[in-house]
Amino acid sequence: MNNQGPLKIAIIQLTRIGDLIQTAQAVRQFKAENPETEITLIARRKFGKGILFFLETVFDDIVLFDTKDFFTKPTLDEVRGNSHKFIFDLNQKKFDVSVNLSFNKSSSYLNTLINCKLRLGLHRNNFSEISVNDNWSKYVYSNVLASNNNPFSLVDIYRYILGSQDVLTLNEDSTIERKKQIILHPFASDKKKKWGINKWNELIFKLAKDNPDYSLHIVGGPEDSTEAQRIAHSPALKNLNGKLFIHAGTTNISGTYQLLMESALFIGHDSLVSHIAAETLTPSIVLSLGTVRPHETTAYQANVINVSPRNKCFPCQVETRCDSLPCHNSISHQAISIIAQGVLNKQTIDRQYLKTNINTFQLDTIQVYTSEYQNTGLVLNEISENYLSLEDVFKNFYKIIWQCYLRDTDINLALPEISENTAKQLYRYQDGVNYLYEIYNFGSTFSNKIIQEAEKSAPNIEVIQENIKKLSELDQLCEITKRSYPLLSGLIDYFYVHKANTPGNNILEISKNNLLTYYDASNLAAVLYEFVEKSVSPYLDTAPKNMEV
Amino acid sequence: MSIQEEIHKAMAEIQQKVNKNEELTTSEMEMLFLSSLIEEEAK
Repeated sequence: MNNQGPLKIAIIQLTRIGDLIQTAQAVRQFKAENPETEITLIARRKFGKGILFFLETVFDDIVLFDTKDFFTKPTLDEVRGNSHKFIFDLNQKKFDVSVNLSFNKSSSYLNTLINCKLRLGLHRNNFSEISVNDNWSKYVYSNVLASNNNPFSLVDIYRYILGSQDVLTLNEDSTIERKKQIILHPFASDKKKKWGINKWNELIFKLAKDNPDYSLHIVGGPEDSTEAQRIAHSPALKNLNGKLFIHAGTTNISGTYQLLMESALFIGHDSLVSHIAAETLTPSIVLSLGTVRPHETTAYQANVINVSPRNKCFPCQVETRCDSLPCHNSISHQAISIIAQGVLNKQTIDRQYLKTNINTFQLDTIQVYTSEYQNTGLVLNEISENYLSLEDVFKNFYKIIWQCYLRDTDINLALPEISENTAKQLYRYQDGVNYLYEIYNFGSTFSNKIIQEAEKSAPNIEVIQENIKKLSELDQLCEITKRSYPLLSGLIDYFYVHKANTPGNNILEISKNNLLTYYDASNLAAVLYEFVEKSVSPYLDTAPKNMEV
Repeated sequence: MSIQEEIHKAMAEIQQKVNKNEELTTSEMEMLFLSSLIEEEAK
């Protein structure tokens, strides 16, 4: 810490506008808990400038830059001079802590170049290798970037990285009256994440028909204006003159914020505008499609209804090519319209509402979640199905495990209500968790042998090498286990990253730390085993033969 | 030499050091920061 004055923290967020808003939502909560801190945001100008009006309400200082700022001179020496000056100026701010919340390459180098006493998030060591020391950043690196098992909102994960304890959220300003208008954002950064125009046309037509008192407003950026005009001029919507308004390309983000402040409902994809709708506490229906992971990025507010497809391939990976986009057809415009009508009429949107108003075929293909704040953060509760899917069962297990292990926070969740089919799948996982437990126990044994040998006055290098080789074989066994039991990747990947970042200056120190990691890993595997066992046991009692897979 | 060629040359030198497992200087880290920004712009 500085000798005097507040703790100075640099927050690095070099990714897109949505991530910037989520970062600000986390930092606002941290700042409320730690008002004595001075927080500087470092972000790209192209993403930050449109929401400066909002960022300024959270951060004490904002440094915006673009790559082209460095390339104002013709030679590399001069370009390097520009970047050196940028880093030098940043370091003049004398940060105590640097926190990288963006997890891309450039941010890892920037985080390394900032002089500070504590560095959180991705950075580089002196050999340019990736380093990540704090546990929640290891969690992001292992569980958020590469898998679908993460049960936490990104905003909450950012809070956890910062060390924020309480959930401190915005309150509705009751003096603001919401008009009878619905804001629609039919756009997203990627084709896989957004419905096609026809779907939106059908939804707009039905919304207008079912809610004749409401006006409809399409918002978006300049890049969306052509598509917005195509929607507006679609033959099906030609009779909506005076009821359908296009703001895409003419209203900036600040204007969209104002519009949302006075609107009754927002409907759109998981994108920038959904996060702004959360900031204005506008009741929202968010459609998650393609690569979007609802638990991670659904807008951070308690007034959200998230609708996702129930397809096996959802959510897909960014690199997965998909031309048929089956998940887009799983969500019907009728279902969204019915949910919208319920929200507008201030009805409780719960399982009963969905079952009464949406036909079985349309309900069977979607997962509907409502959001609520709990003491750990934002939680999505599924309301469309009586039983949890296998994936959601594991999300609940991981929620308990990670909160306890990484945050020392106990949360109580009832055993999941599952179908017999899910119980069968879960039963098969018992073997996988058991393998994992044994692998980690072997890890402890081999680490112990290395320690014992290294502590001898004349250690035998061959014994040490032999056990190191066995440890690397355990990593391969973990990979094989992961392939057969993909939902165990949460645990396997976390401890792989944890081990890769084991601190220590020599084999003895590293092995001692590795031993602790294997102890922790086997303990968590044992806890996971118990969860699985208890969840399937009611089904074993009633129908043991069905469990034989 | 164009600036692109200069960048390639500088990066090749840094890569050699990385391959030899040699510690990098702050100036080299700054170069890696610059180059990663260019890489991300191209995506």
